[in-house]
Amino acid sequence: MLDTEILDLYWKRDERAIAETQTSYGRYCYSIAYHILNNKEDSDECVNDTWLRAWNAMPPNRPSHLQIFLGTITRNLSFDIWKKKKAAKRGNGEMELALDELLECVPMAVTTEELVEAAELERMINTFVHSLPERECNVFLRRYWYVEDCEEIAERYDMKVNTVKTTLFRVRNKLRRYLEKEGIVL
Amino acid sequence: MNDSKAEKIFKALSAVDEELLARSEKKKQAVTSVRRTWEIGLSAAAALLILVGGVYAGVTYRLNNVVDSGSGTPEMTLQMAVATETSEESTEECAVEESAIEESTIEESAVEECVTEESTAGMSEQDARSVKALGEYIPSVMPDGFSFLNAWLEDNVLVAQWRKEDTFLTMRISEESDMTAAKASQSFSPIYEMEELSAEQIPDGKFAVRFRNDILVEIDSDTGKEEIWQILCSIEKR
Repeated sequence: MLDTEILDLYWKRDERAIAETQTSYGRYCYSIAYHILNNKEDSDECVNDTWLRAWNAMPPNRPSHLQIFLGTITRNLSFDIWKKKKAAKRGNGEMELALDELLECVPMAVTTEELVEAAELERMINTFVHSLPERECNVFLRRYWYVEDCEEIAERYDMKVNTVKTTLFRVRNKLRRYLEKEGIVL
Repeated sequence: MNDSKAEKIFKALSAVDEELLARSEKKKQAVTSVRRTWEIGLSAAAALLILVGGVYAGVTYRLNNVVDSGSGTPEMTLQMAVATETSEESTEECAVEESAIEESTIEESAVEECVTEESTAGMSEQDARSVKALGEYIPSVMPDGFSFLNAWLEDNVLVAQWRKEDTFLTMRISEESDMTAAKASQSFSPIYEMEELSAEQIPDGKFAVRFRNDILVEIDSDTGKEEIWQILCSIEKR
């Protein structure tokens, strides 16, 4: 089914939208989740949550790239799950999780500054990625957006693994210099 | 909430433009594989040619020695031995040459990889202008507020980027007759003839313009039609 047809289903609140999304982009979203979480159950859960989020987001949204729109939701959800799991491991159980849950009670006003900083960082990173030559940009995004390993990236672009590693090294250095130049302090 | 520095960057990457992510989905275009296959084929043919030449030289040398020395003399045995030795040497030489060729093929492909790396590593606006045949299509005057970001060569396509605040303008310049470049630019949207184009006809999104000498200039930007027209006119005047 075409993206526009799937989007129409969402806008008509037709539940077939979810089944069609699963058929077209289930594997893609699962791959993103699995690269971040490295766990089947968590990845499945994340993909199911993606469909729910998509259902709630469309309408009002009508994304121009449905695939990337869904991928972004999956990536964000996977990252949240990854952080929770990391916290649980670090605290060896409930304490860290409890604190993490309590953080949700902290008023948003406290984090306004953080939000502004995050938005600024997003803008900077976007500008930086745009300034990269196509190949460097692709390799960088496959590694740090899709969390693919160097072998997968090398295969995708018909490159040598070492070239991928060198490219990533060079781009990381460029990004560091760029953020320093722009006065970004993390 | 308490994200590490790396996590902040990871999170910020979520806002990268969809177009870039969509572009990264595309796998390497087959044209390069075809080119590599040709290169490998040519290298193998060259190696085979030298190998055959070497063996032929060795055999000829050996035969000459046999003919020159007559037969049945002690010298012949000695010369035959020398000839055999020489032949073996020349076979060894061939083997050495062959391995040298193999090595040089590997080195060449490594160098090519480096060259490709270099060619996509970015160049200044001045360097971009000096690219043969394509550089002259870099606009001489950009609309107010646009600053040059980067330029590079990609499969015989000269790519240049400018930025005005949050708006980007990407220009891909190639010779239409260049098959490699044409393949690389197969994502071309509608192609307009510069002579027939006007400011009102500038479409939304990505499109390409054919200039004299069959040079294609693809423009990809969200900036206004007037600004894009200004850029195209600046190229035409040159």
